[in-house]
Amino acid sequence: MRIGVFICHCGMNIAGTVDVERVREEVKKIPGVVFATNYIYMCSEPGQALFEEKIKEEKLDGAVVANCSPTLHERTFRNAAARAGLNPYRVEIANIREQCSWPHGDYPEAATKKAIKIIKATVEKVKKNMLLYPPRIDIKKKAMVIGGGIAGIQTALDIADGGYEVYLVEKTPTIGGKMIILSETFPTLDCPQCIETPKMTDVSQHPKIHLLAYSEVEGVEGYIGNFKVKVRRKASFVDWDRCKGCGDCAEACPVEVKNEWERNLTLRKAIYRPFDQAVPGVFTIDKRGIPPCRARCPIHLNAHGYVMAVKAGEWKRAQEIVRKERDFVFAATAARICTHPCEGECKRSEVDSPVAIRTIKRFVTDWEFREYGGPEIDTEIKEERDKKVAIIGAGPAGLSCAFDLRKLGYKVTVFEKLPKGGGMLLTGIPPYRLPKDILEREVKVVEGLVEVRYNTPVDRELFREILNEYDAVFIATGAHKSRGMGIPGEDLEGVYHAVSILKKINFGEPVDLGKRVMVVGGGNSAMDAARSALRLGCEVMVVYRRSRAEMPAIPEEVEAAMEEGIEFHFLRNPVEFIGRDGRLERVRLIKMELGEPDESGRRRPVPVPGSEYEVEVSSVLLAIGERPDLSFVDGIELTPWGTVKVDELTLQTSNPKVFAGGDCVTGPNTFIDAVAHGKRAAVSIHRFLEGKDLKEGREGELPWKSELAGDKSLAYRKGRIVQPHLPVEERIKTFSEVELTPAEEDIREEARRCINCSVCSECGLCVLACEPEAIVHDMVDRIEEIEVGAIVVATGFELMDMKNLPEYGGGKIPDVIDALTFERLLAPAGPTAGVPKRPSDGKVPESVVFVSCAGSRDPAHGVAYCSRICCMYLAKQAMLYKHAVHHGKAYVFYIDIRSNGKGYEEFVQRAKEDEGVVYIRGKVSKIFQRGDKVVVWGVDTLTGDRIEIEADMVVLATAMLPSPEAKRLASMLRLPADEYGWFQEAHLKLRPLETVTGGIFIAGAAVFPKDITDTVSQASGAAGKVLALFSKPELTREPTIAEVDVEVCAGCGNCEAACAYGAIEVDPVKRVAVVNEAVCEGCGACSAACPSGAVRLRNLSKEQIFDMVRVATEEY
Amino acid sequence: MIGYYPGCTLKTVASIFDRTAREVFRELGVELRELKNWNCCGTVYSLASDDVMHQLAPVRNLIRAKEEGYTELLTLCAMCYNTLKRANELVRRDPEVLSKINDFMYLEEVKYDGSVEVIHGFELLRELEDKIKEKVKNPLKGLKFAPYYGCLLLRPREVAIDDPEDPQYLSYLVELLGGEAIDFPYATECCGSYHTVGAKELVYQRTYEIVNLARELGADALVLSCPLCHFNLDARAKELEAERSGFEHIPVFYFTELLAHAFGLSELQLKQKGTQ
Amino acid sequence: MYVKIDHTKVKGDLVRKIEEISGVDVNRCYQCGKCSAGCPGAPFMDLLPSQVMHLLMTGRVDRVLESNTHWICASCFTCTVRCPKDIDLAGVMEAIRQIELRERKDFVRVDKLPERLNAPTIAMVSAFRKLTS
Repeated sequence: MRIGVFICHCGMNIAGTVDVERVREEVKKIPGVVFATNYIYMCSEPGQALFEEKIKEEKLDGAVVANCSPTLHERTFRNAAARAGLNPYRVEIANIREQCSWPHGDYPEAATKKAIKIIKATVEKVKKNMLLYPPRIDIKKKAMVIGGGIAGIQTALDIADGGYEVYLVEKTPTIGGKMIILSETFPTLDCPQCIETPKMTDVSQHPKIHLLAYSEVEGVEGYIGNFKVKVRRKASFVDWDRCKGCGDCAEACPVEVKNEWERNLTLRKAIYRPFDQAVPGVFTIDKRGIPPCRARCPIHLNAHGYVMAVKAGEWKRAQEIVRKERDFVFAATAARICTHPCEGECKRSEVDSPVAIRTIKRFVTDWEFREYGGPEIDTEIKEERDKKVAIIGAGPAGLSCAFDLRKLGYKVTVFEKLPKGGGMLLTGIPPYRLPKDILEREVKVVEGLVEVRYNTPVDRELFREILNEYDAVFIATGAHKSRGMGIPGEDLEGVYHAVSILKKINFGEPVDLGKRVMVVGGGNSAMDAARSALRLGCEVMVVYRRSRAEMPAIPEEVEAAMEEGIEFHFLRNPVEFIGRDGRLERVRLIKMELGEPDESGRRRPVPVPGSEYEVEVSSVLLAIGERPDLSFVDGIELTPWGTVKVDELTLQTSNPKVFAGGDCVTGPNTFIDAVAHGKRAAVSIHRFLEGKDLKEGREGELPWKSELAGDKSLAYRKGRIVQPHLPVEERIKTFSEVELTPAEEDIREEARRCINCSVCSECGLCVLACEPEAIVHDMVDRIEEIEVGAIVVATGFELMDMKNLPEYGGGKIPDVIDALTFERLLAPAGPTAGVPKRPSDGKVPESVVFVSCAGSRDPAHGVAYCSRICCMYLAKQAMLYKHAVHHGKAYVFYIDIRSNGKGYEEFVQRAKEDEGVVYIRGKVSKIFQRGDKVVVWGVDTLTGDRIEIEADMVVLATAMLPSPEAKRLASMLRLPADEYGWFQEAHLKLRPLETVTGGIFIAGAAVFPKDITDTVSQASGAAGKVLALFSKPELTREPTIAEVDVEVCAGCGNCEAACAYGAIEVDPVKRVAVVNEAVCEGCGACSAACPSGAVRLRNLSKEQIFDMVRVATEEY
Repeated sequence: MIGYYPGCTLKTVASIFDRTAREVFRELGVELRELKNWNCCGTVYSLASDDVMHQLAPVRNLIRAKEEGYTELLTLCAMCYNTLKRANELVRRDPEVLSKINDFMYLEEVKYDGSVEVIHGFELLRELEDKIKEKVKNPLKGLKFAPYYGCLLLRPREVAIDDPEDPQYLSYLVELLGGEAIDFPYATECCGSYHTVGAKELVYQRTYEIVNLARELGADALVLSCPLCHFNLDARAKELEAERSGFEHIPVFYFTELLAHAFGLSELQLKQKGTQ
Repeated sequence: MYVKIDHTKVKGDLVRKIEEISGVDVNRCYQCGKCSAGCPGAPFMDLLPSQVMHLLMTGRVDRVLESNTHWICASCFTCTVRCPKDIDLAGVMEAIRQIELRERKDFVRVDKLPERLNAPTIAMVSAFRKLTS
C-alpha cells in the first residue's frame, strides 16, 4: 500500500487546537503510509494542487485528507484524486474539525491524540477500500409538477420554455391556486386577474405542457430520471373536449351549493366552473355519490333527481325520472300509498322535517295524467326472445316483474285468481286512498304488453303444468289469508277479517257491520278497515295492544284516522268475543302494559292481571296480520313461517328455475318492497335464462344506507308542505280520494327544501341544456400512468380553521372571518364587487379590526412558527379596506411587524401614514359578539392599557398550514416532512429546492409559508434544477451503495422491510435480495438489518469497521 | 362508589346548593353519601412548587374518601373541585410529593395513592342524561339563563370539565330542562373571587359588568356552580344597586336549583317574571 | 436619567427564586401581551402581567415588588390557558406573593378588617391564604 495523509490546518480552526505537526509525525509511522504532510488550507487551490501533485509524485494508491466534515469537501478531494489518476473511492476524509478540534477546543492535548486516532482509523479503512466506478442511468426528459398554484404554474412554464414536456397535475378543476382568490398583491397592488391569469392562459396554450386538472397523484414508483407516476383523472362527468364553456348547463342546474372559490360567500351550481377565468375553462359536475333517499328506496328511484326537476319546474323531466328511468309501472299508485322509506332517511329531517318526497311525486304523476291522459311509460321492446316466463299473481310484484321481463323480450304469461289485476292494491287498499281508476290505468299498462289470464287460480296440478311448460316461473301470490286471534268466540257472526271486508268494499259488494265496529290491530290494514267502516256510517274504535309509538301503520294514516273521529284504545287486547245465538254482542278486553323489548326491538305488551272489562259492539274487524296461501306449490322449500324460501338478493327458490317475491316471501310487507322484488326477480330471471351468474355486481340493488349529508346551513327556510286534503266532514261520508293535488307554487317551494346530500342529483337537466352533448353522467375515474424523469411538488398551503381559536369565537361569529375570505370581499370581481360587506347582514363595516398571529407563534395552541406573510397582507387589506370605505377605521393588532422584503417596510409605513391604519402593539385575548358589534379585547403594551374595540368586523390572520394532501403525497413520494407537514429541504440553507430523494424537487408554500415573490423565485429555481438534470445525457450515481453476497443471502426480506427508499427487494425466483443501484442511497439500513451479513455497503464492510474500531481503541 | 364532599360554604350560606343537590340526585337515583370527618380543602390550590404543606388539607380529604371505600369523590363547589382535583393530579404526577405528604400524615391509617377520582356534579349529570329527561315535569319554559362557569371549573386546562374557552355543558343542561340558555360571552370571566374580602371595588366592577351584560342579553337569571361567584354576583350586586344608579341585579341560581325546579321539587324564586 | 440595568439582578437570585417557586423560565415570554389583554384584574393593577414578565426578564424585581399586580391577581388562570408559550402566569404571581409573604409582608391586614365581615367562608379562607402570611 502507498497511502498519503494530508492534514489541513483550516487556518486556526484545527491547528489552533490540534498540534498538526505532531499528528503528521505520528501518522507517518502507520504501516502503509508513505507520505504525510500538513497545509494551512488544504481545500484551497494550492492545497488541491499539492494533493494532486503528491498523488502522482508518490505514486499513491490511497489518500486520507484530515480536515472538516466529509459533507463539505469529500467531493472536492475525490474530484482532485480523479484528476490525478487515482480512483476517487480510494480517498477518505478524516474529520478532525467538527469531531475533534471544535468540541475539544479546551483540551489541545486530548484533541491532538484524538486527531491521530481518527486518522489512523481512516487509514485502516482506506486500506480495504475497493476501486469503485459510478453506475450510469438514463433520464426520461419529461417532468411532472404537482400542484397548479402560482408555484406550479411558474415551474411548469419555465421547464416547458426550456424545451421539455411537463405534466401539470392539479386536484381542483382549475389552476390558479390561492393566488387567484386574492384581491390584490402586496407591495405593488397588482391584481391576480391581471398578473396571474395570463400565466394560466400560457399554461393552457403551451405546446409542451399537459394540464391534468381535476387529477390527483395516486402512486409513484421508480427513481431519479425514471419515475412512473399513477395519476387519477377524476371523473368530471363532462367531456372536456366537447365542452364549450358556455354555461348553459349551470344555468339549467337546480342544485346550489357553497362556492369554495368565493370562500363560501356565494353559491354555485352542482355543475360548475370555479370562476370565469378558470383554466381549463370548462365545467365539472360535483357528484358525491348516491343520496340517502335514493339509496334507501327499494327500487332506487331517483327521488333527489325528480325533486330537483320539480324545483326547476321541469315537469316533463320529473315525469321521466319518476316513471321511465326505473320503468315504474305503479308510479301513480306509489305517489298515493307508498310508505316512503326515502323520507325516513331524508337528512332535511335533521333541520326540521323531511322533504315531502311522496307529495312531490304525487304532483308529478298528476301532471302526467293531465298531460298524457294516463301513465306515460316506455314500452318499446328492443329485442324479442323465445324463452317463456310464467308469473303467478297479478299484484305489484307480479306485474312489475312481468313488465320488465316483457321489455327484455320474453314471452310472459300472468296467472291471476281474481277477475282483475292489482293484488292487495285492489282488494286491500280502500278507494279513498287509491282511487280504482288510477290503479286500473297502471295495471292496464302491463295488460297491454303481456297476456294476463284472469280468473285462473293456480292449483297443484296447474303449477306442475306451468313448471313443465315455462322456462322460468315467478311466484308472487301475496299474503291474503288472515290470521285469527285464537281466542273464544272468533267464529261468531260479526267477527270478520278486515281483509275480507275490505275486499268486499273494494269490489262494491254490500257490507253490513252494524252500528259499532271494533277494529283490532295497529297496522295499515287496521287503519284502512277502520276508516272504511267509518265511511259506511259506523262508529269505529281501534284496539291496539301496544302504544301509539309502536304502531306499524304510517303516521299520516293514523293522524288522518284520528282526525276523522276514530277512537283509539291503546294497550288493550281482546281476550274473548261474547255473543248470543251465534251473533257477536260484546268483546272482553284486557289492559296491557309494555315490558322488555322483544326481538323486533319494540317493547313487548304484557297483560295486566285483573284488568278485564267488556265493551258492546256490533262487529269486530281483525287486522292482526295476513299470511300467504302456498298450498299450490310443489317441490319448493318453504320457511318455518310458511313463506317461500328464497335467496334474499336473487329471489331464487330451491328450484333454480322458480323465483318468488312480494308478500308470499316476506309476509305482509309494503307495496314498494313488493315492486322491488318483482323488478329484482326480473333481473335474476333474465340472468338465469341467459345462463349468467345471478349475483355478480348486484350488491347495490338491495336498499342501503348512504352516509351522505347535505349542507344544513343552506337549508331553505320553510316548513314542510301540508298536502291538501278533502275536509274531514266531507271525506267521512264518501270513498272519494282524501289527498288532493298540491299547488304548483307550493310544490316547487317544497322541492327547494331539499339540502342536496349528493350535490348533483342526476336530474339530467344539464344534459338537456348542453348543446354540444358534452355531459357524461356515467363517466368514471381513470388512472393514467405517466413516465417522467423529475417531479416538482408545489402543493401550497391551507389556512388553519378558525374553530381552533375558540377565544376568537371559534368560527361561530359570522363577522369574524379569515383573511382569504376578506380577500374575496375586497376583490373587484368578488361577491361584493370590492366593497366589503358583513357576512351577517350585508352592511358595509365602518370599522374593521385585523388580528395578527391567530394561531401562529403559538406553540401552546397552534403552530410555533411565524406564518411570514400575515403582517404584509394585513397591511394591504387594511389599506384596500380604507380605499373602499374612506371614512372607515382600520386597526391592526400586532406583536411584531415583519416587513422584510423589497418595498415591504415602506408599504407598511404607507398604510399607517397615507391611509391612517391604526397599529396597536399587543396580542388579542378575546373576541365576542355583543349586539351587532364584535368586541375585541386586546392590549396596548406600549402604553400599558387594556384595549376594547367595538368593531363591525374582525379579520383573523390565521396560521398557514401545509395543504391537507401534503401528508399523503409525502408518504407516497417518500419525502420527509416536518412535524407540521411542511416538506423538508435536503438542506435548509444550501439545497432548499431539493429533497433527500433524487429527482424530486419542492417549491413554494408547500415547503413553508412564503409570499408570491419568494414562491415564484423558488418555482423558477426548481425549474432550473429540473433543466440542469435534463441537460445531462445520462446520470451517474454514487457507487458507495449496498451490495448483496448472493452466496450468503437467504432471502429473508429483512433488508426489504428496512429500506426507506424501496431500493432493495427479494427476487421472487432466485430468493435473494437485489439492490436497485439507481435508487439505493447507501444509508446502510439494509446492512444493519441483515442477519447473515450478506448485505453490505461498499467500502464500509464489517472488516473495515472492525479494523477502524481496533486502531481507534488501541492505547496511545 | 361515589362519596360526596360538600365543603364549608355549602354547609352555611350556600346550604340551598347542598339541599337541592341532595334532592335532585336522589330523584335521579343517586344518594349523596357525605364523607365522614371531612375538613376544609384549603379553598385555593397552592401554586408554589415548594409548598407541600398546603397540599395536606386536600389530600387528607382524599384519604378520608379512600378510607370509606369511595373510588370517586363528588364536589359541587367549583373551588373545592379545583383544589381537590389539582392536589390529586399533583400527587399522581409527583410520587416524591406524595410520599412526603404521606410521611407527614404518618398517623393516618391509610396511605394515599392517587386512587380516588375527584369529579364535579356536571360529570355525574352527564351520565344521567336519560334519567334527567325522564324526570322533567316542570320545564323551565320561557326562561332565559346566562350560563356562568367562572374560572375554576375550566382552568387550568388539565382540570377543565369542558372546553375552557367554549364550554357548553351548562347551556346543554338548561336546554335539557326546557329553558333557554343565552350565548353569554362572559360565561368564563372571573367575578373577582376572594377580593370580595379586601378589594371590594374590584369585585363591584366585575359584578357590574357581568350582571349588566347578562341583563342586556335578556337573561332572566344567571346559573352557576360556585358559592363565591354566587356571593359576588348576587349579594354584592344587590349592594351595588345602591351605589350605581340604573344598575339592577338579577337572580342567581345554582344549577341544582334549576334541576329541582324542573323536577317539581321546589320553585325558583324569580325576580320579575313569574315561572308561569 | 436612565434606569440602569444591574447585571447581577438579570437572572439574579430573586428572579431565580421566583422561577423555582413557579416552575417558569421568565425568558420564555416573548411579550405578546395576550395575558394582559385578557386579565380581569388589569384595570386595578399598577403593572400589566406582561410588564411584570418583562421586568423579571430584565432583572428589575424591585419594580415588580413595589407594584400591586401580584396581589390583585386572583388566580383566575385566564392568562395561563391563553398564553401561547404555555407560561403559568398565575404561578409566577403566586411566586411573587410568596416572596413577599415569606417576608411577612401582607396585603390584607386582618386586624384592619371590619369585625363582622359579610363574606362567605371560602372567600375569607382563600383571601387569607393568598394575601396574608
